[in-house]
Amino acid sequence: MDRRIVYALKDADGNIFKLNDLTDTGIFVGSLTYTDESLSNDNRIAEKSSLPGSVKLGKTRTQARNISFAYNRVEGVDFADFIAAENELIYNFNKTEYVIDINNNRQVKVAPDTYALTYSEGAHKLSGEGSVSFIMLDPFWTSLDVTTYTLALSNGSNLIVINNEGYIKSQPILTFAASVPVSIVKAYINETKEGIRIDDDTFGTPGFGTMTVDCITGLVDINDVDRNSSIASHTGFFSIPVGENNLILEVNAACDVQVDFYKKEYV
Amino acid sequence: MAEVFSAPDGIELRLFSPTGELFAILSDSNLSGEILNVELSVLKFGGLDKFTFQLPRNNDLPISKNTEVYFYVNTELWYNGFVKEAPQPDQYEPILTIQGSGFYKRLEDKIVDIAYSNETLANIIDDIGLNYLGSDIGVFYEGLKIDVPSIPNITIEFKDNTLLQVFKRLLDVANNDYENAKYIFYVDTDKEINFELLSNDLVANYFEGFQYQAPEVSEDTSNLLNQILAYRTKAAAQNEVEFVNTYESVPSQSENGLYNKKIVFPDYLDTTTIANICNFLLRRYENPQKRVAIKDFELNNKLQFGEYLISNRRDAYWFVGAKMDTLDGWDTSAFINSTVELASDHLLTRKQILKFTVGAGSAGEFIEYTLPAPVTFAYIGRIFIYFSSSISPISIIFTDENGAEARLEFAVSYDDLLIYDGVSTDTLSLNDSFKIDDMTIGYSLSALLNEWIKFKDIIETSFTDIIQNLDVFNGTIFDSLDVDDGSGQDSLDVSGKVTLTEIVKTKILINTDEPAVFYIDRVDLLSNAYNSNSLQLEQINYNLRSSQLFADMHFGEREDNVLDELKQDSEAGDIALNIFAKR
Repeated sequence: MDRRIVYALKDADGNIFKLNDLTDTGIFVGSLTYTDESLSNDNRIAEKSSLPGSVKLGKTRTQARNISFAYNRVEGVDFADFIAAENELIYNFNKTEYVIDINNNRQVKVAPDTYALTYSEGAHKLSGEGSVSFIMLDPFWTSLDVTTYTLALSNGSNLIVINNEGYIKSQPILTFAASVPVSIVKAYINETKEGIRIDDDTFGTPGFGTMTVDCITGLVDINDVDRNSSIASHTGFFSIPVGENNLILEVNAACDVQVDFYKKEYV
Repeated sequence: MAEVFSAPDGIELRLFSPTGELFAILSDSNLSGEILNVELSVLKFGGLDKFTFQLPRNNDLPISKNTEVYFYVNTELWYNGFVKEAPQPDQYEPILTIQGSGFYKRLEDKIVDIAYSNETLANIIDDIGLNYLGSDIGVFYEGLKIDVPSIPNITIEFKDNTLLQVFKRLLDVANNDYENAKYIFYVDTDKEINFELLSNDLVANYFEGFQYQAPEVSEDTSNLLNQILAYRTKAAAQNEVEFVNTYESVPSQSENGLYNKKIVFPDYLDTTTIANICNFLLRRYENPQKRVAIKDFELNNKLQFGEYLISNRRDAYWFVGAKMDTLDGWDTSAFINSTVELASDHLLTRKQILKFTVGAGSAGEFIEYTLPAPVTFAYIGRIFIYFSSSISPISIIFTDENGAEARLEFAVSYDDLLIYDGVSTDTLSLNDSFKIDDMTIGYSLSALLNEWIKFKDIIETSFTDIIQNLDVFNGTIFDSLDVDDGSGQDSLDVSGKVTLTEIVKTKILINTDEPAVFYIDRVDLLSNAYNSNSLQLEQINYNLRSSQLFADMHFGEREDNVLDELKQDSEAGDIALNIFAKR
C-alpha cells in the first residue's frame, strides 16, 4: 500500500491541480517533498518592572505561516515539454486559494507566495529542482469531512450537545428550515456565551423557508437574499470551542436546524 | 453630449470636453495601463468631492481645465466631475496626476443675495433652483429630484452667500427633525441637485473579522454641548441683549463634564421657540460622537450613504444593566415603606447616584428598571454598593424577554465579595480572613461599612427555566445530558446552568426589614458581545482598479458646523429658526 500523500491546488472555481500522484512518472510529475512543519505564536511580553522575569499580556495568537513544496522535475523530451509543465504549474499556483491533502481529505486556505526553479543543467533546461511556497491564511488544516447535527426545534429553547473533535475552535454553518414564520432565532454556546440573534419577519414565509447563518464567511441569508441587517446589535457570528459544548437554540416557532462544521488541526 | 456606449468590465474613464464632446476612453481592463490608480473621495454632503487618476506623460490627450470625467465601474456610471487642474507637460515625472472636483463644487462659484418671508422650504428651493442654477454654472435643477419635509413659514435671508452655503443652510432646515428624518444633498451624475430622504433601514451590518479588519475607533468631544445660556436681542435696541434661560442636559454633564455655549437669538423669536431650538441642539450634541474608520474594504458595488451597523470585534464588554444616575426608566411604585432618591454624596462615578433608605416593612419591596435596549447573552452581573449604616441583603434580579430570571444575590456573607478600594481588588471566599487597611476583620462584615464594595457574580438560570422543550431530548446527540432514571426512558439532567439570552429588566429587591441606608452607583452586565455601533456613513474614499475595488469608509456625524452657523446666523438676524416654533 502506497502511503504517500497526494497534494493538490484548488482555485476559486473548485478546479483541482494535483502537485503529485502515486505514479510519479512522466515530466508532469516528479518527486514531491513536504517535510517541514513550523508554527509560531504572537505573544505580547513585557518585562516585570520590579522582579526578575517577564509577563505575558493578552492572549497567545497563532500567526500566519508558510507551507512549501519542493520537487525534482524529471527530464523532459525537449525544452518545450519541460517548460510547458512548469508554466502549467505556475498558472495553477497563481490562482490557488486552497492547498488540499487529498489522502486525508483536508485543506488549508492559502495565498500564493513564491515560486522558484533551478535548472539541473542551465544550457539544456530539461530538468530541474523547484519549489512553490504559500502563506497559510489559516494557520491550520481544515477537514473536508463535515460534522453535522440536526434537530427539529420546538417553540422555545432547545439544546444540541456538540462535540468538536478538532484542536482549534471551528466556525459553524447553521441552516434553518421553516414552513411557518419564525421571526426570532437565537443561537449561542453556553460555555462561551457567544451567540447570535436574528429578528426577521420574512423567514418562514412562502419562498423564504431556508435561512443560513454562515459563521465562516460572516453572512446570514434567507433563500440566498442577504439578511445581515437582521442580526441584532452586539450579537453575531460565533465559534464552537474544542470538546463538548451546549448549543442553545431558541426560536419562536417550530423549525428544523442543521449545524455543520469542519474540525481543524494544527499539523 | 455624445452617446455613451456600454463600458467593458473593469474601470473605464470617459473624457468629455466642457461642451460634451467625447474625446477619450481610458481603461485599465485591457492591461494597457492607460489609467492608473483612480481615487475618488465622496461626501455625504455634495457627492463626489475630488478625484485623481494618473496617465503616462507621453499621452496626447487634450485634457484641460473643466474637462469632464465620467467614472464607470463594471459598465455602471458611478460618478462624474471636472478637471480642476490641467496637468503641465513640462515636468520630469513620467506619470501625470490629474486632479478634479465633483460638480457640487461649482456651487461655490456663484454668490446670491436673496431673502424669503413666510415661504415653504420646497418653494424656496424651487425658486433658487429655477433662478440661479443652469448652464452658466453647470449645475442644473429638476423639481422631481427635490424631496424635503413640508415646512411652512420660513423667513430667511441669504446675504452674499455662495449657492453652496445656501443649500447647506436649507439642508440644515430640512434636517430639523434629524433624529427621525435625515436628508442629504448632493449633485448627481446628471449634474442636477438632489435633496433626498435617507431610509431609516440599515444599509448593511458589517462585522470585524469578516467584512473588515482592524477599524480605527475614536470619540470626538469637540462639539459636545450640554448647557446653553440663551440670550435674545432687544427689539428696541439691537445692540442690547436680555437673558432668556439656561437649557441643559444633566445626564450628559454627569457623564462628560460641563460643555456650555452662549447663544444670542434674534428678537423676533419667542421663548418657546428658543426653548425648542436649544432642546434640539442638546439632543443632537449632548453625547460625544463615535467615529469609526474602516480601511481597504473590498467591494463590488457603489456604497450607499445611510445608517450602518458596524460591529467591532467580539470581546467581553460591560453593559449598563440599570442607570443609577437618574430615576427615568425606573418603576418605583412597589416602594411603599422604602425610599429611593437621587443623591450626590459618596459619588463613585458621574454626578448622581441612587440612595436607598429601608426599614420596617421594606422586605419584598423593589424598584424595577426597563432597559432601553436588551443586553444579550450577559453572564456576569456587577454592582457597586455603599452601606452607610448597616449591611443589608438585597437581590439584583435580571429578567429576560420570556420572563426567566437570574439573580445576583448580595447576601450577608463573604461569598464572591470583592472589596473596591480604588486601586485593586481581592477575591474573598467564605473561609478567608482578610485585611482592609491592615486591619484583620475576620468575619465581621461591619468593617465593610462606609466604603464602596464591588460585588459580582455569575448570573445564570437553570436548564429547567430556560429549556422548555424537554421532549426534544432524545437520540444520541443528548447522550451526555441524558440519564437513565430507572424507567428505561431517558430524562434530562437539569443540574446545568445557562445564561439569559436577552435581559430586558433589572430589579433591585430589598430582603430586610432592618433599617439601613445604602447607595448604588452602578449595575453592570458582562457580555461576550460585538461592540456594535449604529453610525451614518459620512465619507468614502474609493481606490479603484480593475483587479480590485477598495474603499476607506468613515462613519460618524460630520455635520459639525451647525452650531457655528447658528451663532453666525443668529447674530445676523437672518435665521430660519422659526421652524422650531411648530415643533
